[in-house]
Amino acid sequence: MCNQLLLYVLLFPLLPILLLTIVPFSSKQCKWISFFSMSFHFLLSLPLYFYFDSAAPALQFEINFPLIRSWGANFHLGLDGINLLLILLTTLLGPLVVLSSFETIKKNERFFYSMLFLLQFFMLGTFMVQNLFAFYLFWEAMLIPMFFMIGIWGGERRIYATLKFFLYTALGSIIMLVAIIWLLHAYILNTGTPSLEFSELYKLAIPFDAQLWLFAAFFLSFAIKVPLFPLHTWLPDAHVQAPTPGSVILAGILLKMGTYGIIKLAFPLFPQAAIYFSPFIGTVAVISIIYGALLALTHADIKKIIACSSISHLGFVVLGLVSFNIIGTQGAMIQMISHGFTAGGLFLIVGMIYERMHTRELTEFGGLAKSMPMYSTLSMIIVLGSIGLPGTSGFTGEFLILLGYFSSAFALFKETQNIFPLILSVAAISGVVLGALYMLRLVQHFLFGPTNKKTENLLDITFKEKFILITLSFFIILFGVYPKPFLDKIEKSVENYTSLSLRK
Amino acid sequence: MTFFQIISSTLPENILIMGLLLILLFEMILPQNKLFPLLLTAIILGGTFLSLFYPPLENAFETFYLGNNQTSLLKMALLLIALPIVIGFRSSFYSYKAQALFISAILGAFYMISSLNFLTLFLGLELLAFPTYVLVFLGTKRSFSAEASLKYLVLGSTASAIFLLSGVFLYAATGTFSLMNFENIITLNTFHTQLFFLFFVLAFFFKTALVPFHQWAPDVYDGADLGITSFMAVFIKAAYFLTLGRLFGQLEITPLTLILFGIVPLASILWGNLAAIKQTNFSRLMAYSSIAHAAYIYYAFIGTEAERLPSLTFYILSYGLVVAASFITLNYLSDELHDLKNFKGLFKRHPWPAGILSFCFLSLAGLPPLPGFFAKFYIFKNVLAEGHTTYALAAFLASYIGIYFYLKLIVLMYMTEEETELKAHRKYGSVGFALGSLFLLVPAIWLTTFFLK
Repeated sequence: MCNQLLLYVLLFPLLPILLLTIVPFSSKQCKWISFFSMSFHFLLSLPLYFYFDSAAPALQFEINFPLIRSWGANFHLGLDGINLLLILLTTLLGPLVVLSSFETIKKNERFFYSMLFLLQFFMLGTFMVQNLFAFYLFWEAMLIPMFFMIGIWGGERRIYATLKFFLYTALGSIIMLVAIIWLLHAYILNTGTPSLEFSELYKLAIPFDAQLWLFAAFFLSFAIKVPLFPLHTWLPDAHVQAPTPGSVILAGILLKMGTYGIIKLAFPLFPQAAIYFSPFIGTVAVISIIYGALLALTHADIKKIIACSSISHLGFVVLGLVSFNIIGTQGAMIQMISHGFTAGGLFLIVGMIYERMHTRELTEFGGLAKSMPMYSTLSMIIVLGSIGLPGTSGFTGEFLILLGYFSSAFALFKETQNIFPLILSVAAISGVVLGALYMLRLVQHFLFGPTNKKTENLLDITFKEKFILITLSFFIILFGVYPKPFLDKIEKSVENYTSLSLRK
Repeated sequence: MTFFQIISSTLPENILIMGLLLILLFEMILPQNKLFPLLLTAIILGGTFLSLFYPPLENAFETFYLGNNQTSLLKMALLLIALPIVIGFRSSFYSYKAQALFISAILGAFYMISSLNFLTLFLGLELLAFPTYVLVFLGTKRSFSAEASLKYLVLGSTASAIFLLSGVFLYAATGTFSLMNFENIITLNTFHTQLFFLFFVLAFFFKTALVPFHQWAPDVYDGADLGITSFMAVFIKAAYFLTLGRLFGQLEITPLTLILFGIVPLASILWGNLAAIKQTNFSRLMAYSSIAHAAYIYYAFIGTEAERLPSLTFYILSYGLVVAASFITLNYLSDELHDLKNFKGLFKRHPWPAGILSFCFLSLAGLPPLPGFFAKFYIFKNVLAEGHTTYALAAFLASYIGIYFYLKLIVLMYMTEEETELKAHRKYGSVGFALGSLFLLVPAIWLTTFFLK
């Protein structure tokens, strides 16, 4: 198979950007060019999945050439089980996002779609690169298109929201940058040559004191992105103000950057610090789960409810990661993908209804099940996926996470009589119940109940919208009913990274 | 010392002097014309640039003047930065008078870079400063530019006085005015050398507008013509820093240098970025931003010795070209109004200028993958290599404030509805020049790599 495929998948979005910037297309042309480019992009990335050898623990489809030698900066791309599914999730959501922006984006389409492709490029870069310098480049650059997206096409308080989003995330990154430079020098001191390759840095023996600081710097940056309590305050604002496509990308992919960073960098680079901080991280994760769910229960704005549910769901991911065992980490990976489908889908659902009703207040809805049966059915599947009903992707993820965390907590209890992690895992289970509570409350007021004047005569969803929701529902059910092939693909790498995180 | 030796050992400077005389001659003979002065300057600068490829084989002024590959590269960097300004702001430099002043400023900068002696350095410093005082005064029709010019003159002279004072201590300490092996003079570490160093650095703090010697900058930047402002913000700053870079290249890091280059600049970063948030005028905003950026550059001097000059040069080039591009773009939009109100809704009316400006602002904010990020990374990588983690962290956190106001500019351009209808000059050429100035970043990177060899 073509070894350069990964590179092509990464660079492909630059082509439509160039095209959209130079040629003055009409808005209709823009839409379709973007849609076909994104669809082609997804098809281009599909062989990555099929040709990915799940038995080999090493990186595949590798591309490596030096950027700046004395800084240890290489342009190093590689595919492993950790980023494989996330890359595919990114390319899969691409065409769906474009379809959803057909109706929602009404001004500066050319600029919007170029920003969308730019964002796609940066996100894929963040997932693919295997060099810390390149990672930082993509990681930070990602903020720029998102900044434009929320700021130009967002809601009423878009400027406040976009600045808050940018400044929150940039603060974490700046501190991480200092830690990255520190790592570079530590590596030079140890070996005499500069390198910021992930694989080289994993081998680096860092003293425990330094690890604590470096871990804190990296983790802060990732925790803001996830976001974990109490660094989550940017999220509801950004989500509510962002246009539908922006929200979908934000929830579907951008938030995973944080958890991806934790599993790929924070834990394996600083394993001792990770173990040292793990009770703290577990606590914060559980607080996020419960706090996010409680927040979701209080809001009446549908978008805010979904935004808060993201905090809760990503808390589960982090909880799965601190279990430091294969089951929990696999669960976290599945939960990341599942959340991409469900949260992305929920934002799309809200976007569709917002186009018809121009409101997001829960109290103004009701009885959509009668007037829009197709819409309601598909919405229900996605909502159930979000709750984690058995048979949906959410269940696979959450179940594996809880299982993984409980088994590691129980092992710790037997070893040291420390009951705290066990309490945490019980508390986390209550998060599942709360999740069902706020989601069913949402559905109850939204889809069921009596119709009102506004909702009586709504038209059901169009073919385009059906296509979006059916695609997502398909994957939600696929991951719930038969997750084995996906779990197989990631197992080797998960094993690899958990053992890296557990080394002394 | 033969005539040929004298000519060849300071060839670039001699070409500039000849050019200067030619300009003055032509002013008498030829009529005032828009093209001639520009053409003449282009020929002079081109000749100077070419002459830099031939470093002098012999040196007739060996205790006063240094001419080697390094100084040639620094001078090339300087010309590279001057290029977009001369071309992009043709209107500011149309007259013979302005061209002559401009050439003489470049001459001063060249002497500064090559100086091995306190007197040569002082000569260069004044040769650079005096034409600028006049340019600030000449280049405008507004009444308060006289005030700006006077302010610049008075405060600039104060800096020169402080600089001269440092010479006194130098003479007291060593008995000569020689600046050869600058680092050895400092390592003598007597009371006099310390005072010399302190006053020397303070004079440059004054010249490069570091807090607390920064008050003149916003007023002067605001008062002067846009072309002259960018000349000051870009070229003159570059000249000072490249000179310092050559002199301080091997300087040992002592507690005194840590205070001067690690803590004093921090105040500049903080104040420059904080004050910039409140500005409503673009030139004033850029003045405060340049105060902050000058401070980042000083951090190069507490970095690894071998990489001080390359990192500093790269910073100067990437900063200078980006600022030049942003000023040129602004010139396209309007050369009278610098009010930030006019930025509102710019993207809608002029997408290309808005795009260039946002590239510039994001680069100034230090966001990857733009050149400003690499420049900052390079400098602070070296600071961390010397183990000054806290200084670097503090500077980074202070620079974080800066992101806010650059983003606010983008918010104005892209996310705010327009209020006033602004008439643009529609000099599409300018936008091209701005783009061209950004493309100069490529040779800038190429040039910087030579310092590493």
